[in-house]
Amino acid sequence: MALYEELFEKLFDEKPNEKLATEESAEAVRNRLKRRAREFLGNKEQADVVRNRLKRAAEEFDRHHANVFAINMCLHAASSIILSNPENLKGTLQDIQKIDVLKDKDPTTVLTVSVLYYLVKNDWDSDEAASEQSYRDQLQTLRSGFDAINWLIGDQAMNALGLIKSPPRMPVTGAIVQQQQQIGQQ
Amino acid sequence: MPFKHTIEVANPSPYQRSDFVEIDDLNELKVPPAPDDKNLRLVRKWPGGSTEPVAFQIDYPFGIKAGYRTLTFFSRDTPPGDPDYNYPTAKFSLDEGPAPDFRNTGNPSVLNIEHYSAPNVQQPSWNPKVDVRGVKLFNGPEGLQVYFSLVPRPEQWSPCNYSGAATSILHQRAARMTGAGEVLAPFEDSPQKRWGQLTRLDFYPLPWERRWYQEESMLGQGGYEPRYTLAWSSTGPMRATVTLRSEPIQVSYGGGPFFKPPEKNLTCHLYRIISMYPGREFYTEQLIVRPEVEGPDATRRMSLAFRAHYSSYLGYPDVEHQVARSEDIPDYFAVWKSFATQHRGLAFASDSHVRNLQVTSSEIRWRLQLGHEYRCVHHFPFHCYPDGPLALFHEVGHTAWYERLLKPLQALPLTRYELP
Repeated sequence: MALYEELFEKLFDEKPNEKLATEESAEAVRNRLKRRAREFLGNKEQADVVRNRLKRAAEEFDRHHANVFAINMCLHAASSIILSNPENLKGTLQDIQKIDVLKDKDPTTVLTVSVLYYLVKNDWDSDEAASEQSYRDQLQTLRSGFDAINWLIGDQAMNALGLIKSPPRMPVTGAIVQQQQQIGQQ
Repeated sequence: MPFKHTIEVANPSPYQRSDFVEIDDLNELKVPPAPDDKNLRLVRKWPGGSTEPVAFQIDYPFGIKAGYRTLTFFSRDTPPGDPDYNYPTAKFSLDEGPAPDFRNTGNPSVLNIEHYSAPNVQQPSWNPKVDVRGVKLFNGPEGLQVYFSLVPRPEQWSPCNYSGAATSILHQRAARMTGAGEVLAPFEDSPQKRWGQLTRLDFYPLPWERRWYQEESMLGQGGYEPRYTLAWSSTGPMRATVTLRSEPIQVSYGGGPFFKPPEKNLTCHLYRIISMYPGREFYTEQLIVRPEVEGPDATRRMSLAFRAHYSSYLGYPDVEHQVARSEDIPDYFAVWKSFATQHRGLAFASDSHVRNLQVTSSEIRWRLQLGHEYRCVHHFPFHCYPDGPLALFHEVGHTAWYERLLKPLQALPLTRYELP
């Protein structure tokens, strides 16, 4: 499990200090938190809000010189999710500060990009609207936009969190196809 | 007989400035009451002899009957001068004559006031005969939209007393950048959110009186909740401005044995003159308590000394906040709420010391030191990616306090602190 996922799910830990007392296994804790995170985002109303905000941000990316707007909209969307469920916000931020590679980064930014990455990866959304190609393209646009600025935290921190840059999109042109075919023949 | 008055403007900063100049009362500059203010013109006299007509605005902040005329104009490219206002660096002349029409020169189109007589019932122009229960001021796509409630409970189910508070502050730039522009509750709406509500005034007795100071609640007592009325509303080329007038406040002073009569009871009103200038991310507020005076003294600028207590309630999740306040200059503060490179500031500056500042995750309370005519700036700075490191003090200290309150561009002679 990548660290970004772990951090996101930790947010939903309503009793972070009682784990040892109840002797809940690490596996059980993870499952419990994963379930709670999915339940939170599985709420249709909530999911629609998140999807619409990501769509709007992606539209901004497509507008001339509007990347800054889109980046800030995405950050605000992810922050809103974090702050609407702050059961273990302080604990999660403290955990981030304990990680060597991340301790000189702003923990709220680290957590926010982790949540944002989780959102744009789109594994959480089982709604039909989330599987539409146009929406998937929009999410890809957002990913590429954040890849270009190393998710605001730099390569090292990205590696620590498990944030992977998406492969660049191939333009559909004859030249590329021909080139690929040549590579295939070799 | 036609008059011609020269207005000299001093820039107290060591750098060139372009900013608004306010003359509190044209009478102080011996400008005779004109039969029609529309028949005045203001001209910038540039060094070398060229002239340029300048837009201006005249307001009657206490109502037309009170006689005060406040002149506001913009002094562009004002050369640097002396920090003590010893000499002017820009000249204007005000005289009678047909003024150019500045209505379509940009600023008026961004300044606007809506007058609400009921929720969702609004009129763009002010009709003094209509009971206005709220006003919304706009200062353009780079500024703010602020709604002030004049009544305690706009709706029957209103959860708290909103009297005189800004109940919504839309920050246009933040809205564009993040999709969330409500300064008071940017993450999730909060019905209790409000900013800059005056909760109490304190009036001090005369030095020889052996009694405690008088506390006057602006939120009411015993189930009665006072409200404000609109004393003035105007949108011109320079600013959108409204004056909120409180209900009568009774203040008594014991003059005896030194003065007659030994007991003087005054009926007073608090006036809050609130203004917004094009594209600025703040609104200004002047606080004055004036006694009701009849007869020949009715137009004299009399005011009582008081202390003002402010309260604000924010609908923020429990995010870390930073308070920028320096005891060396206790005239301003900024509370910053930051999360993931987005920094939202709630700042206040005054020409009086700010005392007893209390900041919690959802409330900010403060009071002003005893004084007469307070001038305040309520400022809402905002920073986000890719802005550099956050300077906690800069905007409130420089833009709000230094340039608007401590060292504004001023017309000479200085009349601002003249004794009545």
